[in-house]
Amino acid sequence: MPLWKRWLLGLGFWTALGLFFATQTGISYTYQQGSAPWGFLIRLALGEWYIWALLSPAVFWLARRFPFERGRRMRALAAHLPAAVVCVVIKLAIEGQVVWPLLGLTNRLNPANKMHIAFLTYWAIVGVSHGIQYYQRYRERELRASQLETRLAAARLEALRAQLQPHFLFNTLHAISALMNRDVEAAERMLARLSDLLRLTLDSAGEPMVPLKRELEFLEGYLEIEQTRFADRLTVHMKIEPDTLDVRVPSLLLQPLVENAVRHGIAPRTEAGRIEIRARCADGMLRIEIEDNGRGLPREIRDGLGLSNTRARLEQMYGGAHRFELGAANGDGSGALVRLSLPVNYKTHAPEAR
Amino acid sequence: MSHRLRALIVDDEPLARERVRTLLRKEPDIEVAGECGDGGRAVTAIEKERPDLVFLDVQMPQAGGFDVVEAVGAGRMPAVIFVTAYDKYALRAFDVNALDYLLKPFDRQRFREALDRARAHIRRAQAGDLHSRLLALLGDVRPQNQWRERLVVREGGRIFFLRADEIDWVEAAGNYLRLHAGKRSHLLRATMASLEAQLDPARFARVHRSALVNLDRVRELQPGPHGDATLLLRDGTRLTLSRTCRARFEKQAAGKH
Repeated sequence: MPLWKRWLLGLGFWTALGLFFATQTGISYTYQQGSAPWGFLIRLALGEWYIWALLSPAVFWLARRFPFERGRRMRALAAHLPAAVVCVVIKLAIEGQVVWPLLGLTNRLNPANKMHIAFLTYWAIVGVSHGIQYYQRYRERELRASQLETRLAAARLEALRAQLQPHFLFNTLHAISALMNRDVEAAERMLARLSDLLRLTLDSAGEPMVPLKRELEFLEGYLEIEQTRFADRLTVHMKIEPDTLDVRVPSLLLQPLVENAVRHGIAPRTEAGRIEIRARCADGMLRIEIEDNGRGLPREIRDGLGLSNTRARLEQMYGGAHRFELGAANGDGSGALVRLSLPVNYKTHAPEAR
Repeated sequence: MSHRLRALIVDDEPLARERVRTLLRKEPDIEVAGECGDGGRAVTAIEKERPDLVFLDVQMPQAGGFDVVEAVGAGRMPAVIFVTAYDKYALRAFDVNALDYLLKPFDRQRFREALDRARAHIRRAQAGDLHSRLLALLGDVRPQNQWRERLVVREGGRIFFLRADEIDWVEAAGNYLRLHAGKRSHLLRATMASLEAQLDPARFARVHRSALVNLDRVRELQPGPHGDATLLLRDGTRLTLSRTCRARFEKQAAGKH
C-alpha cells in the first residue's frame, strides 16, 4: 500500500472513532437535557482523537521495534510502560493546552478523568500494530512457501533433465552394452546405479530437506556412473566429516554442482580430472566445498540456469543466512571451487515433507 | 581378400572404444590399427597410420569428429563411420549427405550393416565420392556457427586444437601468426586477414596492422596523444591501438560491429 493511502486510511479511522465517541456523548446529553450541542461535541471528540492520530505513528514504530515475542517480552514491557506514560502525558497536555482553548473551553482539563482511558488507548494501538504485523508475516510466509514449492519443482525438473540428458543417458547405456561382454557384474551395477538415479529424481514424493548422507548417496551413484564412463580420466575424493552426515540440506542440491564440475571441468579435457568433495561443520555452519582441477569456469556458468536456480533456492530457504560462492580453485584461474555454507540448525521456511 | 582392412577407433570414452573393438574381433578381415581418446591424436593417427576406416565419435572434448575431418581435410579422410550418442543436428547432416553413422548404443546387426557398407565403399575405392560428401557435410554442419571455435595447431609433429576463447592475442611473425594463449604461444601458418575473417568480430578485434586481440582480455584503454591508444591486457601485456584501427575497435568492443 502506498504511503499516502496509509495516511488516508489512518485519518479515516481516527475520524470514524471520533465521530463514534461524539455520538455517545451526544446521546447522553440528549437523554439528560433533551438536546445536544452536536457541532461542539464532534469538534471536541475529533480534537481528542486526532491527537492520537498524531501519536500513533510513533507508537507503531515502537511496537515494531519492541514487539511482544517469545524471549523478548520483558524487554518489550520495559520499553512500552514508560512510553505509555509519556504518550498519556503528551496527549493530555496537548488536549488541555491546545485543543480545549481552541474550542473556547475555559475550565481546566481534569487529567484524572482521562488518564486511564488514554493509557488503555496506547495499549490498544500497540495491539493493533501487532495484529497488522502478524497478518503481514502470515501473508509473507504463505507467499514464500508457494515460491519455495515452485523452486523445488524446478530443481527436481532440472535434476531430472540432467539425468535424462540424452547425452548422459545414451552414453551410459552404451557403456553398459560394452561392459556386458566383459564384466557382467559391472554392467549390472551400472544399470542399478542408473535406475537409482532415475528413481530418485522421478520420485515425486521427494522431500525439500534431506540429511546430507542421502544427498551423498545420490552423488555416489551418479559419480560411480561417470567414473565408469571416464575410467582413469576421473578420480573422486570425498572428505566428509562424520558429524555432517545428519545435517539436513535442500534435496538435490549437490548433484547439479558436481555435474557442473564433471561437465565443465573434466569432460572437456583429455588429461586426468579430479573432483574433491569436502564437508565439515564449523561455527554452527555446514561447510561444503566442491573442487575440480579442470580448465576453470566458463563465463556463462557463473550465472547459468542450473546454478541461478540453486542460488534462488538457497536464498529462499535460508534468507541470506547461508553463503554460496563460485570461483577459480587456483591463482591462475584454472579449476573451479564451489563453496557452500549452510546453517546447521535452521528453521527454514520450507514446507515440511508432504 | 588380399589384405586386411585397418580400422582406427576414436572415442573419448574407453568403454565406447572397447565396444567397437569387441565387435571388430568377430570380423576376420579387419584389424584395429589404433585407438584415440581425443580429436588431436585422431588427426595425427589418421595422417600417420593411414587407416582404411575410422570409427569417429562426433562429441569429444576439445575437438569432435567434425573438427577431425576439417583438420585432416575432407579429401584425405579414409572411409568414416560416425558414432554419436545424441545429436539431432548431426543426424540430419548425415542423412542429407548419405554418410553412415551409428547411434549409441548399437547392436551387432546394425554395426554389421554399417561395416558392410564401408567395405563396399572401400572396395569400390570411390574416394572422390566420399570427399564431396564430407565437404557437403562440413558445409551443413558449420554455417550454424560460422565463426571458428577451434584452430588446429601443428607443433613438432603434435596436433592439437586451440579453442578461440583461449587465445589472448595474436601477432604477425613473418609467414606465420603467433597465437598467445596464457603462458604459451603457438605458431599458425596463416595470414592476419584470413584469421581475422574466421574469428567472431564480437570477440576479436584488430588493434594494428599486425596484431589482433581477444576483447575479453582487454582491461584498460589508455588514450594516447595522437588519436592512438595503449591497450592494457589482463595479463599485463601492452598493445598499441593504432589510430586507423581505433574507431572500428571501439565499435567492436561496444558490441556494434
